[in-house]
Amino acid sequence: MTTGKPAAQAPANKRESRIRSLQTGVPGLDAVLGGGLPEFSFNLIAGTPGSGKTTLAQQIISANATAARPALYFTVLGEPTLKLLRYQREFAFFDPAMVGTAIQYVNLSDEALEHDLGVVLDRVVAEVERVRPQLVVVDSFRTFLGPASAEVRSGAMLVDHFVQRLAQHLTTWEVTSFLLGEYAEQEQRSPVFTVADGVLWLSQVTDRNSVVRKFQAMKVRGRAQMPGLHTFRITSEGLQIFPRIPEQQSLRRVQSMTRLSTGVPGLDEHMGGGIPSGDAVMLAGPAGSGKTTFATQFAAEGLRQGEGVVIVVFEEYPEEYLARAKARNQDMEASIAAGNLEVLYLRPLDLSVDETLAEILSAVRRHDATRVVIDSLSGFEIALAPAFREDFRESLYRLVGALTATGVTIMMTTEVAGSQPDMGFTTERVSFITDDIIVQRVVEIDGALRTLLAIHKMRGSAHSHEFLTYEISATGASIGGALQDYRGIMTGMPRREPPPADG
Amino acid sequence: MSTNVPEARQLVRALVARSEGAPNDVHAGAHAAQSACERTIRELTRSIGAVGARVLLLRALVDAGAEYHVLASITPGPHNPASLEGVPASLDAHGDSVVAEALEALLERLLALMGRLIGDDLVQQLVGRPECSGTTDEEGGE
Repeated sequence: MTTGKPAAQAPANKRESRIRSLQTGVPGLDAVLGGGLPEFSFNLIAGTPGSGKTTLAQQIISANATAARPALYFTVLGEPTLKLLRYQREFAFFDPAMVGTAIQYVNLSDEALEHDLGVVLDRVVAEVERVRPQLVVVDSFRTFLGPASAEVRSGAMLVDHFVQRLAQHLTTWEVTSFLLGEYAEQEQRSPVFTVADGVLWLSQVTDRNSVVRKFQAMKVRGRAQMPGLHTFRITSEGLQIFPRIPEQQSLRRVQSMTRLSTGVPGLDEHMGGGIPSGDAVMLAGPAGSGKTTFATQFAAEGLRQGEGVVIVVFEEYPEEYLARAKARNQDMEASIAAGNLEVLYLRPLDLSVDETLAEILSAVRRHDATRVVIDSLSGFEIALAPAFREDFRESLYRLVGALTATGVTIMMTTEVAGSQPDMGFTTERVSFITDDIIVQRVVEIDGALRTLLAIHKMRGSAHSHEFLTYEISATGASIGGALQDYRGIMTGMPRREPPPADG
Repeated sequence: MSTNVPEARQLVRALVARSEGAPNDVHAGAHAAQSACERTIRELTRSIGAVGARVLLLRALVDAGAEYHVLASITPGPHNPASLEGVPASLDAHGDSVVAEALEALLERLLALMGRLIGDDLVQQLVGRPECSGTTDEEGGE
């Protein structure tokens, strides 16, 4: 079996499939499909209007069609070819040189208006026999199903017969095919769904002011596709799908004995020598307690050690972040230029956690990063589309799990209310996700505000249990001594209680 | 999209050159232009549909007709792909060069209109490639 470009590849399953896979050219889609689209499969791309069906099909054929093994793109009543070409050419994947050669457009409006599916089938088969394509798209399939199915006339072909015969013809001619159609959720009992080898479902959900697009591989015969809904985005590059369960998550994390310096003078010795490599650290504190300063020093220390670093910011632009770091003697511009550092800015307010993860993982790979700073979780939560904020904790759990599975060490900052008498950071209810927790407090002592921190938790590691004072100066944060002889520190108004005198 | 009239004119020349008929035909110029128009309409009927090709032709007739009055007596035939009706009578009335020039202008307007919609490069790909004989003359019927 031979196909066009790129060469069909076997899926990455343990047991090698005899059915070759077409690589779709859609980032993230092959992973969702369990390795790609089975060659010669008969697929339905279904969804609501505007959900991206045509763009998905165009992207797939653009990645695979060649002049020697072209794609036949049948347009019907709903998608005039001129309009299709006018808008699709705006996408980066669209190659004008493929039009008429590798991708041939055929309009079926006249046949559709005959209201006899037999006429449509005859034309499709005639074109397939003549062009010998490797890919066929019918866009939109439903425009000729509607009137024909409603009006079953003598001699006219029934819809299910038409679909079955079309599928047989296309498979016999060794064609991988796609029928595009607008379907509502309740229409999934249509005969097309039964006959199709693959059903790819696209939808978009509006929640308050945000729109979230979701993709589902409802059915992929012969493949262990990823179940569930996967978010996707359409940009000028085309579709990008963000698989819900990252591949990395299946890998078991190996606990490393290596420790990474925090970059904060005096802190490592209170953490058993530093942060265990591969840990997720949460730095929780009130506004102005220096969370970003600590996180920046953690990143800068990595750069000093020659490591790759990714900083993800949500609340300010990278330029502002870098300027503030520079003001504290952490000039990171050279590291960016050298390709060791990337400051990712993610703030669109309709993010999904999976998209965020994909962006971070991509940056981690680009820079071979070992440290990731997420500043802050509070900003991250706000940047998510409202639908994803509801399950923020579960989403964050998956994100941290997937990131640490790659071996990176993560430092996340989160803001807590300074006056809360309890451990305020647990209101985020995300502390169980992290390996290590550092809590910062601002307290009043002798009429002045003092900054303190405590190592609240280090999973599987000895650490200090004292309240440590710290200072933030023009050159950054540094740890002072332990605050002794005080009680009620967590209230924010500690009382001095010297230890009882001996004897 | 670009509005590249010179590109359309160049493409018209190429299409007409491909359609040149018998040298002893006294109406060779007009017949070549008519043939280029009808082949283009056939090609477009396949790729964008009969309705799409017909509306492009009608718009081009209106545009070109404002300058070339001879086109007032030339109309699309009722069948698909649309042929051009009224050419023989126009030739009798106006002669070869006038009709040929008008038909070339008609094709140029059609291609320029498409260029504005989808880009000159795609127009070239759809109708200008030498192998755009995909819709052969024998397929040209209804």
